[in-house]
Amino acid sequence: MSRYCLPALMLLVFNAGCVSVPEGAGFESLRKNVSERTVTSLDWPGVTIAETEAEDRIQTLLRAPLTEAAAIEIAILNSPAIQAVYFELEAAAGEYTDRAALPNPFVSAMVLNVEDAPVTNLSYGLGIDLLDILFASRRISAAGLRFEAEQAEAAAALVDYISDVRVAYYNAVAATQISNLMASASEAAHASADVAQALFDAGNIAQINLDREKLLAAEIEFDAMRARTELNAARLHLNAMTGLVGSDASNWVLAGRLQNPPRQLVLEPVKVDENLYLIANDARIDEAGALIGLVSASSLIGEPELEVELERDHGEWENGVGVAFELPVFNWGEGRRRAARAQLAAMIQQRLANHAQLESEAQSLTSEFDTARQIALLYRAEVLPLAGRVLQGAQLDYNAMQIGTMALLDAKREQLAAGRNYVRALQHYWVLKARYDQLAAGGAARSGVETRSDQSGRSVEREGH
Amino acid sequence: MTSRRDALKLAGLGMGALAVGSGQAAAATNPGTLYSSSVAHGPDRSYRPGRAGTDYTPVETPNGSTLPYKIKNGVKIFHLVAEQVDHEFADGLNGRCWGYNGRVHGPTIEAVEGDRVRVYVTNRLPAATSVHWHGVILNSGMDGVSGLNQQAIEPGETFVYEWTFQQFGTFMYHSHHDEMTQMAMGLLGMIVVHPRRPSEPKPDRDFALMLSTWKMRPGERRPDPNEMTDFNILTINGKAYPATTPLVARTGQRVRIRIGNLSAMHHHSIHLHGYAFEETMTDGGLVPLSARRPETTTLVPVGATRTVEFIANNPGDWAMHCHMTHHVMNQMAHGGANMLGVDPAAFQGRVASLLPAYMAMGQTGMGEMGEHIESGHMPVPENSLPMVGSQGPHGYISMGGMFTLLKVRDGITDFANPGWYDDPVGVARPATVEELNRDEVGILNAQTE
Ligand SMILES: [Cu+2]
Repeated sequence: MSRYCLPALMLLVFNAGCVSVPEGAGFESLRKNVSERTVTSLDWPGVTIAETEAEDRIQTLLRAPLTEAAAIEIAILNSPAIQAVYFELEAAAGEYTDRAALPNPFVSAMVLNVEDAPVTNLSYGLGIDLLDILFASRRISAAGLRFEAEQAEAAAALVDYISDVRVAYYNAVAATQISNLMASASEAAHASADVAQALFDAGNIAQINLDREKLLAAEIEFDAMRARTELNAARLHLNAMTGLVGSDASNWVLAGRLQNPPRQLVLEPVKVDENLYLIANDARIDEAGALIGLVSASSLIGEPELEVELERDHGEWENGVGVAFELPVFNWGEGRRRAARAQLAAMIQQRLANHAQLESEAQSLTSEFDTARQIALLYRAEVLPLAGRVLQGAQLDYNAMQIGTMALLDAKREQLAAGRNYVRALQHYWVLKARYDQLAAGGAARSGVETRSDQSGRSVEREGH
Repeated sequence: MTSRRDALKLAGLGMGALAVGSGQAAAATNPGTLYSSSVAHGPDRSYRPGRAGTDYTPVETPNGSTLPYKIKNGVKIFHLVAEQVDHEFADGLNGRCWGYNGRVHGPTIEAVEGDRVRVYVTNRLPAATSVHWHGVILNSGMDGVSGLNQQAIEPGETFVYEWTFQQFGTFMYHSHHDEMTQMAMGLLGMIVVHPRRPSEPKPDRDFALMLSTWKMRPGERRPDPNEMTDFNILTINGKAYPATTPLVARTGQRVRIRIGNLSAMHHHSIHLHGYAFEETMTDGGLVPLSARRPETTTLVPVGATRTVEFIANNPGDWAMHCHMTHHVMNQMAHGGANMLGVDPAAFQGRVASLLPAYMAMGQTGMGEMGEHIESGHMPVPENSLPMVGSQGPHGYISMGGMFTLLKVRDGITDFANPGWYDDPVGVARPATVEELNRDEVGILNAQTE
């Protein structure tokens, strides 16, 4: 019988087969996945392109005014966070290879000296975990499922990251525009204070009215300072997202302004079932399901081992086969089985919860996004022309001596405030668009829109009517 | 329906003894009555309808008209139609007003003492109305206060009023229903009643002027009846200068100017250049000769008339206007800062960089504003005439609102606007160096100061 033992063991090993993921294959599938979902093509400097080529490309992009596409490309080539995702995926591929391999058999060799005898008894043993062998194919497919989950999670991380870069870009553009508008508002308030000073110098207004104008100018100046700080923060955030440092981080200029949304928009409903996080959830659930049989078996017959032994006893060779296993006397394994079942159930429930969350996010984002689009369009089509006409009307009123210069400058600041609200409406639209696209591409959107009221449209209560 | 005879009786009731004789004697001869009459009135007295030219010199309402009438059975029949009127205050400024017979204000009702009149009032307004005959002595039921003397005239209805004028003088008519709204919207007019047997010389030129005030900020198209203090359109017969038609007379003519004031909140001190005049009548009656005094300005209170007379013996173009300086401005506002004496150098550039159309103004006053606006290089809101005056023979006349001209010319027979006066005596001009030296004025040229 013993002569069949080794071949039988080998057969089992080959039956289980073995898996290996070639270097870079994880990245390739990630690249394919991400480009299908986001139309962004990934590259891995030092792997898919030379590092010098990547650096040249970044420098070329930085020389021109920075577009949204350029910011994303720079982030892809340059962001350490993205590189980390690549390496993590590579690590997952390594772990997959490792998990999919058969457990190594263990070997024992023993030399036994018989007391006062010239002979030495020898004992060789070769053992292997029996469950690992019996459940090999299941374990390998579980490892495959885990790798699948990790690939989906890597793709999700990239979809989310690209969206965050877009949001950072839009916020930086909006902050630039708002900072410029705030600078003009501050200029208008200072001009108003100059008028007040000239009026005071001529003896035509009281100190208190001059001081009120100066106070207003100071407050609006602070608003302009805050807007500059916010612009700086937005630029720094975009630098962090794109991994730009040093002179690269300070020299770029943004291309243009936030564009008007399209007049027509047909929104495909978000396919929540194709969400990358849910795909990862599913794979992990399947992995847990595949492993649950193993848990059941091992809890019933703990650690079964198949052992082959070759022994030389007093010059005679003997062989034998043996099994060893844990005797379920005290622990029948019920606890482990229960934990495994409950953990699987928890994963299924969590997956349901994630689905519901994504579904509701998709619906609310879709409507918020469309509302933001309509508001931005209305701002452009109606509110801005109205604000322009109000300023024009104020100029006519000024010409007609119905209002003074300071009230005219107030009207100018009101128009600038309308411009600022328009920029915020555009920012809101584009950020929500990025979040919508992110969700549609299988990521998990997070809100990232800031709105803040400021003082710059305010005016001094002046005497007279 | 009350018969004419009954009405005559009614008209006579409660009036006690009736005035006879000359105007200035009227009050004295009728104890208890102060209004003026030149003949006796009473149920047993009736007079044939007075005739223009024969019985009176017709009054002229510059920019206005006289309400036509027809005579039926010895009664003068008038018809007033209250309605919405798109009224032009001056070129460039229109308002959706309320008026009578397509006019703002209503046509002047002209009659002769002793005339029996019947006035039909048709209401084509969207609101109920009524007409009060301000200053006219008549029976209580004809006085026109809605609710008090009569029911209001509902939209679409026509009411009839009837009385006999037992006095002469200058009176007014106006809505007495929701007065604040309806008078602010323009429902006013003048009533001129000539004496049946005048004791004083008939005027050669007789003018009726109604003063009123309105509120429409530049760009608005309907007067605001809710305004309480801040009126910015001030009119004579519904027109703001330069749209006021001048009063024209021949040198030597006796000129009578009847001025009524139905402004919401403001009395007007009407000043005439070039003359002294006498205030001969109020809406109460003739001023006794002993009480008349020479004046150059007559204060016309809200809800009163003042009649002044003079002989036009000083030819020329003479301003006649309210002397309250805000009342001779068109659409004046006072929300802007006082720019007088301000140096714009410190801010002009900075403001203009934000507002390219900006130009600092008002540093020397606002005299040149109207000219800027009129020439079109300083656009103002649609439907407005802020600060606008008019071009005169010697430059821009920076007046508006309650401002008109009396034009007196030698030997004219046509009383259309004779154009600008060319003063043969001399016009003020820059002094010459010789003159300054001659009179030792000391400053060679004031402009180089
Ligand atoms: Cu006045």
